[in-house]
Amino acid sequence: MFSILPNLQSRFSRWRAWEPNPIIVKELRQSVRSRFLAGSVALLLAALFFTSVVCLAQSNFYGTDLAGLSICRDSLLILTGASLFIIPFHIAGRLALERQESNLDLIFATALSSLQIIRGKFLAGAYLAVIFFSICMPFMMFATTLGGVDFRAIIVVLVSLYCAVCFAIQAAIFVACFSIPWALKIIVGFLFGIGLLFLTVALTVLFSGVLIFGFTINNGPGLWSLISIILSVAAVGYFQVLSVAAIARGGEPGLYWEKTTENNKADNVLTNP
Amino acid sequence: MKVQVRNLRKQFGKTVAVDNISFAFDSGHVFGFVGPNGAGKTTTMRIIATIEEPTDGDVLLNGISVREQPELARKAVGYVPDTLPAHADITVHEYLDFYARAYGLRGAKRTESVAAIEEFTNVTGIRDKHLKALSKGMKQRVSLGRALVYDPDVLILDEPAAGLDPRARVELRELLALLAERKKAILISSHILTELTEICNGVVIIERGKVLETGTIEDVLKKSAPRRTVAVRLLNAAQLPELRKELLQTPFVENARETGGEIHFEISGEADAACEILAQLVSRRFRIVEFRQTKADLEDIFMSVTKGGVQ
Repeated sequence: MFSILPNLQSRFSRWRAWEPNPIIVKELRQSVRSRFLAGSVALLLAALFFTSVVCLAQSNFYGTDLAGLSICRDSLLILTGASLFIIPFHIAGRLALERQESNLDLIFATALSSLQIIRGKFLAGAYLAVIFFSICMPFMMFATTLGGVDFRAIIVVLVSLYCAVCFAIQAAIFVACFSIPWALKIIVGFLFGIGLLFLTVALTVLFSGVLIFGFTINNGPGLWSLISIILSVAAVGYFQVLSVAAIARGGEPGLYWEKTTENNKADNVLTNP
Repeated sequence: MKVQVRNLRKQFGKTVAVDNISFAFDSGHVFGFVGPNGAGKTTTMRIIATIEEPTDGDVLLNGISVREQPELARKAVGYVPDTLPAHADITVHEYLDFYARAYGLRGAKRTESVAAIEEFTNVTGIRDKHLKALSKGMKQRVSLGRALVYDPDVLILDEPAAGLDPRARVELRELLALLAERKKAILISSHILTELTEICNGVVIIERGKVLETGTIEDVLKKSAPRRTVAVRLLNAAQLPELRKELLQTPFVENARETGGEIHFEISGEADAACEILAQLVSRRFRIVEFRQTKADLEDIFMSVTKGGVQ
């Protein structure tokens, strides 16, 4: 317990030497170039836009208060489905492929520790989730301007959903790490998908309930306001932690490299041909 | 850097892939690793590269055990597998940059190393291309670049010339010669034995998981092919049957046969036996145009020591 503080102190004192975790850099670069993810993001944006337009069109009949609530609820439904399915499956799929014996690709034979690899994969998933959430944010904000839904409710729901997505990513990484044949992996993936489906349905029902009954504009300030403020601060803090976690201990040099660097390996012929 | 493979054994279920093999090679040496398919070459290489764990025995890289300290050992080894890089949605430069990061290269040093390797393996022109869009030869170069980017002392190359066109093979040969000059210890497996003879200082011949021959190319050639084969060409081809008859009566000469307008025969004695035979033939007034020793190569030795067995 007492050794943690000096360790942290020594680690943070070398913050200038910190570099991003190589797995995060690789995953995010791959994600940027991935047609699957680009397509998913475009599809998500289109679905949110189309839903908002439909809700607005219906508001002519039912009033703008309900339009705000329905945009918020439907956007949340789409975001829940998209982020709970696409991101965990994307991360787990890549990891499972890299772990295949026939497609080893040597990530697991590098100087990276298993912990660095798993942490990198998780954080990459967490960042992708941020992108998905940021696509949804304008629509949520638009919904609040229409009225009928409480801003605090949106924050509570989004933070809760984000936690659920992070949990799903962790579970997906766990499943992808099973050292089993491909056929079994597909079966396990299918079962995992069913689990996610249940989670999506449960969360959608819960969040809809919260949006409709728990945080209507007339409830006024109280315990929920406090909770929403705490969650907002926690969310901001979480992103800070994410940022630090991404760079702390990333690509720690090993003993061999340090030893050879001492032996002036930096001046070797390869770097100075 | 000294690589010592000591009594290495690897078993997959009931199959013994590698059976108590031992050999060693050193910095600046290019060691050929040859054997029929299924002989245990890839398994041995994967163990040296710390991808596979041995059932018994050990590999020491300058005293660092791949069993006891795999994390440390793998920083000294660059491995080029027989499968090509298959990462999706990543460019050549990003791929090399990732491996440089993964091995702890930082900041400007990483940038320099990646740029130097791209130049060294001649992939600078395709650095922004996607890995999946590359030809086999280019992927092989990238694979070699990946193994070299963190400047390891030991290079393990599993069939690096497979599927390469003649030009790429020549370039690979030149690259390996350069790396050997830079004091890398290189173990290379290939089925193209004539190429190995040209680039390797030493060789390990393996079959059914056991080492059949190991040592420097010269030692193995001397040990496995003690007989010299000599070819004689005459000005007048009509004299060939007479020459063959004469040779068969000569001491130390065996297996004289007519092949393609020449007589080929084997001498079991030392080098001066060939001189005596030549003098004798000249004195018998055979008009000799050419008298040459045909050197046994790795292919001959491989064919003579292996039986083509797999497990």
